[in-house]
Amino acid sequence: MKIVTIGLRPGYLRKNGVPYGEKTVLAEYLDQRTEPNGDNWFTVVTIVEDPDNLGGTYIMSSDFKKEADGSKWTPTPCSAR
Amino acid sequence: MLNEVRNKMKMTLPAPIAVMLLTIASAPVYAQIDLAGFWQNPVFEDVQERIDGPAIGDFLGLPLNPAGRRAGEAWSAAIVSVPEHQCQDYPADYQSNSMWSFDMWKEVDPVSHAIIAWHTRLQYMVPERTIWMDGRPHPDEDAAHTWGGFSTGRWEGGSLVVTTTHLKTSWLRRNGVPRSDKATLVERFTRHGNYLSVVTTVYDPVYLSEPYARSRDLILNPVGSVGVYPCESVEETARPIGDIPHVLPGENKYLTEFAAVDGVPVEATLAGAEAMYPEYRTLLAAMGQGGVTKEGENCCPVRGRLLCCWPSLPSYLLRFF
Repeated sequence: MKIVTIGLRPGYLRKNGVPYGEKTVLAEYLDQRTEPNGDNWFTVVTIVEDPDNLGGTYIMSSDFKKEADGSKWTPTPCSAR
Repeated sequence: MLNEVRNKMKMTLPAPIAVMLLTIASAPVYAQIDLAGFWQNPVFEDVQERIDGPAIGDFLGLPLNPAGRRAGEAWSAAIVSVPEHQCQDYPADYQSNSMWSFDMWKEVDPVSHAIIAWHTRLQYMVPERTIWMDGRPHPDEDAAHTWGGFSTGRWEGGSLVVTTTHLKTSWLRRNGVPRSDKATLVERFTRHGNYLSVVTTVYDPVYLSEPYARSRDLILNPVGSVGVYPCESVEETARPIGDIPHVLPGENKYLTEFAAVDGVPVEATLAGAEAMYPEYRTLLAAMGQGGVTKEGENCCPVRGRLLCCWPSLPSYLLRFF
């Protein structure tokens, strides 16, 4: 599946402040796979085009393994102080 | 089914069109995705690991079992200066995870035009891999093991799925984290326009407690090419004949340095698979991880920094504090 996102508020590509701007076009590819051992994964390939802050394409990917159930999903509330 | 189509065409279509359609219908289905080209590795991820090289004792995020951990702890950086190792190829499972780019091209049967094999050639040391697409089986277990191993490929959706066996014993990280010759490598090459996603999963029954997956992304460079990589080994340092640099169990005094410098609990660097998942944070909290700020019962000075000495830390590491 390919996802294209525009209209983003400026933010950062890395937590050290490397920025992206509001003209950014974000393309994501979600590639699902089943490994030989039966594990289900998907890889998210993220491609960032930002004419204001990047001289070329920024591309990276992340891998997610599907859990057997939702028992490990324990979100905690967030409150600013 | 094909006969039914033929019969219907005879009844309803002019002969030239029927012949054309039959040719299309009866042609073998070959992969339509062209992976050929020079794929530039931008190295936007894990730069320190892939260019500078990981620190000794950095086993973070790896599902190492105790045997893998012991082998990693015994590694000495001096091994790469041994002449026999200086011009060594990267193993197949490390190639796309390295900082280097590679060429990819197909080998086509001149008669049937079927793709017999895909080939890759890495910039570093210029090793060439062959990925057989003709359905041949993997050789007997006793066949030669090489850095590139023996690879076969098949298409799964839009991905070329490559299975590699017969790898020589090598490493997962350049700090000596091992991978055995019993390992199987599964790669997925998926093209997204001018980008190539390569996902590698290593199954190693000797050194890993579960598969180890990584993904890398490359950019098509129409003017790039793999050049030559001349390498000649030299005697870089004086050492006794037959000496193989290594560290005996329990004597690697650099193991905790990475944890100290980066402020990571030593326990996490050695924990193996359990430290790969988010729930490990709960375990860390239970161990008392809250920032190493002062010397106390569980914190010790290490090379000018303070490091927590977890109660479960192996005793042989504690003696280095």
